[in-house]
Amino acid sequence: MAKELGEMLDDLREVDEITWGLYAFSRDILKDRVPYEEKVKLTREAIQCGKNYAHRTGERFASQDPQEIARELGLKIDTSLRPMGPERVVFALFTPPDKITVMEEPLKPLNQEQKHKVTDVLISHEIFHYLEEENKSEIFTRTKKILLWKIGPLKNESTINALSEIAAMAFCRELCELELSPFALDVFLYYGYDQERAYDLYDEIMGISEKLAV
Amino acid sequence: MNYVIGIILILSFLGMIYYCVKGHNLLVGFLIMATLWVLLPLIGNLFSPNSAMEGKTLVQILTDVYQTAPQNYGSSILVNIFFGAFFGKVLLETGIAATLIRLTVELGGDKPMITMGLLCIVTTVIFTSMTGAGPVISIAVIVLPILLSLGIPNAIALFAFMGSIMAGILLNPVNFKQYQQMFVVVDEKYSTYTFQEYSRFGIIALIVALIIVIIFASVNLKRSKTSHAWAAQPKTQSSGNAPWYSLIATILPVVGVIAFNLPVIFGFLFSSLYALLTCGKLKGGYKEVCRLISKLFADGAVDTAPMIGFLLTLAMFNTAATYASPYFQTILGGFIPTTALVLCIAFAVLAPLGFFRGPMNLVGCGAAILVIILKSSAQFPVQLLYPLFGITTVVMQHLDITQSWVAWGLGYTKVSSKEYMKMSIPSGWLIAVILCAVTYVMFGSLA
Repeated sequence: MAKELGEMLDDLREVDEITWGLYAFSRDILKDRVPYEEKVKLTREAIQCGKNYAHRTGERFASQDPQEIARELGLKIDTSLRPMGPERVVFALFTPPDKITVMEEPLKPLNQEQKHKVTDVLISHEIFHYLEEENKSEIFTRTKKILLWKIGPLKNESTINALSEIAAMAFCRELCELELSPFALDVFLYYGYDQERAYDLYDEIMGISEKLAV
Repeated sequence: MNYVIGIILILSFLGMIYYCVKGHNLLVGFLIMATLWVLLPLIGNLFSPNSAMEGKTLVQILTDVYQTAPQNYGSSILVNIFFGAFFGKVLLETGIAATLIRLTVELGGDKPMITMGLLCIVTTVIFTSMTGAGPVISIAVIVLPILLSLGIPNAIALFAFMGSIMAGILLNPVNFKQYQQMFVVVDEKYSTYTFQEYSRFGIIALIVALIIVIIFASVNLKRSKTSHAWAAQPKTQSSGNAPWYSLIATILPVVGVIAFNLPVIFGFLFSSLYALLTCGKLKGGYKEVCRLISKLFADGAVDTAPMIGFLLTLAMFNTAATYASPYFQTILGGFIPTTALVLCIAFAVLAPLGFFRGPMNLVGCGAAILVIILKSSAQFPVQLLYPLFGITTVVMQHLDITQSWVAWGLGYTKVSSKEYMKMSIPSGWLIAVILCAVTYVMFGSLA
């Protein structure tokens, strides 16, 4: 029998960070170019990067409040009512140089308190993407590249988007002091659109976790 | 009386345009139109003889429209469509299409503009052989999430993808046969015009269309900027990587037709066999292989069934239009260009009327205009007329929101029609203008 949302979230609370990293990699366009061991190693490094930036940001602004930090950084926050899904649900966007858009539709089923909390998480995630732009010459998620091809002097190297997402999640988990990985919002917010697909996501994540345990 | 019938026919034609724009069912719409366009000339014939009906009994006319037209249309093109759809299913089943896309993405990496451009090229190549809503959606659910994950805005991603399909279809032998058959319905002499003869123009048209689509998408991308999205999406089914040497199967049918003059169905069969063999799908014994081939053929046929129903009623409408043509000639005859230059300019200027299945679109109301032009005194050669109608049909129709898979794409990406049309209409018109000029340069002297 299908689990209730609360039960699923309880299970997801037990999921370790490497599982979430592998889940992020499974959505990356370059997933086949990174070997499994390398994925695990890079996940650890990305998490560390996100945590470090969370500490630095907390110290820099003497605050843990994402909305306040965004204001201090001069970021413009707006909301969008654009309809989503059901195949792909966008929660928030960062558009360089300074625009964060929070999608309202996925938040509709939430009560006021949940809405406020989730909005903070979404904003903190997008703040990390702003910090990546600000520190692009030195931040791990932008300096770590893989070689795609090389023909004589010509070559193409690429960053790995999954690392950026893993680090952004670690950043917002640290900044907002969350017990649960923000990745779990994928299941939580999808649930409001399509329960069947939310279960699929949950099963997929638990499957990765079980494989990892073996 | 001829004027009265002519005006009623034109009014019904305008009504059909409205019907198409409103997105109503085209199969039923064209069946009603075919009936109306037989009925009105029959009434007109009672008052003043209709030259197109001369020497024909009522039963012969009804046979022409409702029996011979779909029958002939079916015998010559349906097999192409079925085998084309079968080949499309083979490319999907073997993972060849998905592998091509994955490898392309791995070439471009995190650079949205480059990866988008490369994906446009691969999509175009794939759709020189594949066609139909089923294959389009199967490829779309791979390509669109990739484009969106690169931060490309939804409307641009959708336009780039649909535009690339359109470019590929400009050199697709199955689509060529569909539209060429509409000429043959009017006059058997047009059956001598072949895909090989068309292909030189088709290759140029494909390149021009693809370049314009990539430029439009890139300029819009530059303006709107990419963004980082926190998005959730269920995992798509992965079919595993197909071996590199199997990937050429994608272009084998078209190469076979153009370079070796091979029949297209042989091309589809040979390429399908090659793809299944090289991807290790011909395993498990004779029975299992037969089951797989039957399943792929049946699935392909199901994908194309709605389109075939529509094409058969369109064939009825085409034939009915030949009976209506004397009335159109009476009213519009003076407006039909008589020189190749004016004709090409007229097609370039009026090309947007190919959108919304309008009067320049052969899979819309253009079937009637085709008959009028073919029956006009100018007697333009098919080498000139086919590319012109091909442009206003393929380019406009496959970018248009009335195209089934574009409508699906709008829903999938949640892009508004307005956002999408801001790119599709100007780019489609520009492509049409350039290609009409190319047509004049290449074939204008034949007129």
